[in-house]
Amino acid sequence: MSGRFSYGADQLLQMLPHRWPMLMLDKAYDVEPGRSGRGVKNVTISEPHFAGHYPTHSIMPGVLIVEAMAQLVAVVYISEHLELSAAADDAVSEKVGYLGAINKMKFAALVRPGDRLDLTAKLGESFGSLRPVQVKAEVDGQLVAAGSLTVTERVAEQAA
Amino acid sequence: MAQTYDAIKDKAQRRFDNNWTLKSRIIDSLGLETSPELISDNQPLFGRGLEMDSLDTLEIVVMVEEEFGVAISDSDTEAFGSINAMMDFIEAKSA
Repeated sequence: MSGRFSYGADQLLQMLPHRWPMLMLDKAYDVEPGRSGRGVKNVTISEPHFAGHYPTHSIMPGVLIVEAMAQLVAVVYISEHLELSAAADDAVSEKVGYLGAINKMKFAALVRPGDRLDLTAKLGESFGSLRPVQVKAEVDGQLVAAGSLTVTERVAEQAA
Repeated sequence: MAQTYDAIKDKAQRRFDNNWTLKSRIIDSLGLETSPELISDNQPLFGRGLEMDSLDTLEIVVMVEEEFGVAISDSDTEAFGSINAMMDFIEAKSA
């Protein structure tokens, strides 16, 4: 299986349980289900956190960059359920789990309104319900953040 | 063929060095406030030993793959008994 998939915002709403103002992904593309993917987050001054971060100096909070990365990771593993399982159920977004750890995350440059965050995620092998992931974010080809995350995927009984 | 005293001594030294490396890398990976000489080879890694949790386990799995090139899966529970158990597992897999 070597197919790559793209998802627009309307499809992401089916895959992720997140909604405004916490939906941090506009598009996903080059998604290899369960393995890797790329995503876009367009940063705009209309986002509510810029009201306070900071009033005269608008920069995207680093934790929200991590949130955007984590949402791309969720899309990559949810796409596995969507594209590869014979019986695609319509509640795939309930399988989205939680962030387990943020490891060695480095923030290399400020992200401001008008920037387009280009996100990349590569998933490692699962260990029990945990999965290690390598993530990075770039703006105009320049690295702004990189590190690794540990994510969980919710199992059926938790999702109920 | 019987092993010579020197051969056995060399083997023991190699094992000691490998265990020391493993302990150092575990301390680095988990940010533990201890040092290799304070971790014994047969001390349990979970519970009252090093008090590792499941997130730490994954850190160790990633570290062992990077450092020793050996993949540990979630069914390899024996690898997490102690430093010696993990090094036995690594040596068996890389042999």
